[in-house]
Amino acid sequence: MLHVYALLRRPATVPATAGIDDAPLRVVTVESEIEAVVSDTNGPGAPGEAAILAHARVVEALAGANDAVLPARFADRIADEDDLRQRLHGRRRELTGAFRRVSGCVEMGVRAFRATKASQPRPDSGRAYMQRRLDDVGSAEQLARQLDEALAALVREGTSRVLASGESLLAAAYLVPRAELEQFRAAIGAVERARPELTLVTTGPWPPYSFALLDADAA
Amino acid sequence: MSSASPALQQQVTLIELVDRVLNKGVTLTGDITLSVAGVDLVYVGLRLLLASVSTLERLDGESP
Repeated sequence: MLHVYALLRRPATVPATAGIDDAPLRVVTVESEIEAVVSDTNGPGAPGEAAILAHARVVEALAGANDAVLPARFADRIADEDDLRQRLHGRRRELTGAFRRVSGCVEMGVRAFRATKASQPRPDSGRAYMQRRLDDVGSAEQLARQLDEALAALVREGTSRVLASGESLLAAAYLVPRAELEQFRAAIGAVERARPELTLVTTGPWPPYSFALLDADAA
Repeated sequence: MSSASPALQQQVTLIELVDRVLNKGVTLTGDITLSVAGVDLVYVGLRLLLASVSTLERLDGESP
């Protein structure tokens, strides 16, 4: 079986990194101008901690050494090289478009939390609970709009989803040209100062996991 | 300046990483049902969670 880490434009630069279970990485040409970085594996298993981290490390290293990387979804185990080529057959246009989309960009994550105050009473009735949840959804939607406005000129794309569960309000991801990273962080800082009742946590730069599919929102 | 504590930053980074590796990326098999879109942390191994909790505790212990 093959574990696929990412798809890259040919010729891919593969850093000297080992894959899952220290398996060596190798390159499979899937189309005339597309390559996959894979390692051999002993068949399907539950996604464990070590494997998840090893996968992430390889994708990260590839993203650092290549202009455009499309991370592969973790659980997709592939029988062999022919199986891989067959599965990607007919998707050249989609993949070429995705490479163009992420080229020169990194992904940044933003999560928003309601800053908890010890003095704030816990909702003591179902009605109070529902009201708080409604308030959270409204607050999250408002923040999503605020972020979109603040970042519009800086990012190539963005996607967000309202969580409103517990203290979590919003999870957003942005496709940011490398040159705009500093501006991006500054813009997030400005939004955070405008919303002192929230805590924003920015993560990244990540490889463009959330933008590897052309219709990321539909996936 | 972000007001997030290092412990929160670290925990969120872990959640974001696992969410990306398991739920995002190009699907090769076309089997979307394998993913757990929209559900955070479902797949996270217990050890991974425990690791983040112990990290949190350690960080808390280090802070003055």
